[in-house]
Amino acid sequence: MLEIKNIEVYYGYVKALKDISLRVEEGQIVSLLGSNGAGKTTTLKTISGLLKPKSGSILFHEKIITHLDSSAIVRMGIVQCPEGRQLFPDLSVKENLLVGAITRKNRKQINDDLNQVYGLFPILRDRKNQLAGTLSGGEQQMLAIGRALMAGPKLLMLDEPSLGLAPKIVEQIFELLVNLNKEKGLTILLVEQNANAALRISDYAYILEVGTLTLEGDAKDLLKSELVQQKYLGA
Amino acid sequence: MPMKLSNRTNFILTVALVFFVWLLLFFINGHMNTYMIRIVSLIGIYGVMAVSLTLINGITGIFSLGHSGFIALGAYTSALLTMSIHQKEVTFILDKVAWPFNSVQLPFLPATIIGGIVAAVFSFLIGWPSLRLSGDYLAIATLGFSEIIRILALNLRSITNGALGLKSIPQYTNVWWSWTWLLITVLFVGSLVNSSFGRALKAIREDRVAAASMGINIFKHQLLSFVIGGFFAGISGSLYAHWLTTIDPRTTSIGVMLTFNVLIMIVIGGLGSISGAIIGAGLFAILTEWLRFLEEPMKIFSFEFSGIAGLRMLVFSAMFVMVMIFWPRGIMGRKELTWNTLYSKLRRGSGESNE
Ligand SMILES: Nc1ncnc2c1ncn2[C@@H]1O[C@H](COP(=O)(O)OP(=O)(O)O)[C@@H](O)[C@H]1O
Ligand SMILES: [Mg+2]
Repeated sequence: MLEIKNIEVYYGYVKALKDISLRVEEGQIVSLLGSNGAGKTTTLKTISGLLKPKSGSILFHEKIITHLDSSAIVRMGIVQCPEGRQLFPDLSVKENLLVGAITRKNRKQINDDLNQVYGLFPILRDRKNQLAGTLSGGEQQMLAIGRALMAGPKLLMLDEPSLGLAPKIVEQIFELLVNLNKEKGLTILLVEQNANAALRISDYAYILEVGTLTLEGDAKDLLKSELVQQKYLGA
Repeated sequence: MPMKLSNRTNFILTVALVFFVWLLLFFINGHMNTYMIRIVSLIGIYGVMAVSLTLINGITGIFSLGHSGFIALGAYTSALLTMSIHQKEVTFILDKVAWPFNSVQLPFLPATIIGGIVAAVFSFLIGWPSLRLSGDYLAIATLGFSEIIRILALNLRSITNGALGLKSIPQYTNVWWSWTWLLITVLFVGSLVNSSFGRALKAIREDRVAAASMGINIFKHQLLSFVIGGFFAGISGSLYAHWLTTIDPRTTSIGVMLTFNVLIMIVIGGLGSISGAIIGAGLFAILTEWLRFLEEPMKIFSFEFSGIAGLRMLVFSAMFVMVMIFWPRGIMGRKELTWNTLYSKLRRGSGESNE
């Protein structure tokens, strides 16, 4: 579904990603793991078209999307739920969700999706007229995911959704991701530092270290691998 | 009792309010003195200026300091179109007035609309390069462009009559023109803000990166908002020119001073609130007029003082600072004064719980 071929990304003269290649197959949950500063966010931003690679290419359904701008990429169904949630704090919960659907035109479908999101997160329905900035951390993450779902994603990319949340809420959110994947067939690219939790729900995973991919494999194998256990799972 | 008013009730109340305001204008127009009538017209003009700048600065989050440039474009264009051909020949003593103004005279309405369109075209031309910048750079760029417009007005003598400016512009602006244009501006900008386009503008203001990652084309949205704001600035310029009856390219006439005055209005009212902008415009017009007595000759304990020019603005600035201390986000903040907010205030007041 998504294929990245040998991309290099720079911030000014500093190379942030070196020769990265990865694939996400339709219907899978794929994790991109790595510690702080490894280049995970940079990778997602490049896929979204917010950053442009210096070389290499990105393909979605066999079509090259490297040159497209972010709004065209969202329209193709690649939607990002950004790091640190990045809500619109002075807009209401409902307005935040509607901004998610900004690239879509069909009002009836938008309304149906709004009700679906409210079904997934009943708390958002209760708070729909409240300003997003006044929600708790967990509720904000739910809103950020809800907003991304409103764009009608085929591939949902989440940047550290567990960041700063209580373990119980993390569990809830990961459970939801599994449900979206199993029941709605949504393909997910999950960026995490919390490798343990991420590997448990993933089919496949890549490990990124200072801008380079160092390891990849089936999530189950990585969970068992001693190297990964030592380095990322704190065992 | 229901939590919110229905759309129908909202609509009826709004129509009733407009009707009431028009009755009030009718009364003012018939029973008040000319001075009062002129101030009421001025409130409408300031309202259009403030609401158009609110769209750009408050709602879209573009920190523009170029508003007076667009106001001036609307003012000059429309005034040149409504002045009689004879009047223009008499006024232009340095250079002859250029084509097409030497051969056309138009009624107020088309002249005003053309003024708006010219301002909109220039906002497009200025917005195109400037909106690639952000924050302070954008502010400086727009300020610079509005100065360029002023300097052009000073030097393009065959169009603007240079430093002498335009005189004997017909005094067409009355309460009806200014308040009807205010109504149109509010209805237009208000429905824009509540549309999906408006939500995108607010999203850009709140977080550019997040807005871009939701697929919003920031540049296109900001440019369109800037052009619409420029259009209404041009309209307000036309109203202002036909209220003042003379315009010239001094900074204190329709130069940067005006930009800062409009900024003061929208900051007092609440940056990002349309109703706040109108409140700010009204307060600004009334206070600056009321404070005029400070500049008149005074007698305190048998000491005679001649008037001090500028004291009024000094006192006004002090008041402005006080407002900012007590209401850092302005009177309305980013909230709108809607029937629903009034309704829930009333319900809370009458002791019924809200949740
Ligand atoms: N806007 C930026 N300008 C310059 N360098 C940046 C910028 N954003 C990130 N970087 C650098 O790029 C590298 C990768 O960052 P990032 O992709 O945010 O990592 P991660 O998301 O894995 O924590 C880091 O060294 C970081 O300092
Ligand atoms: Mg990151």
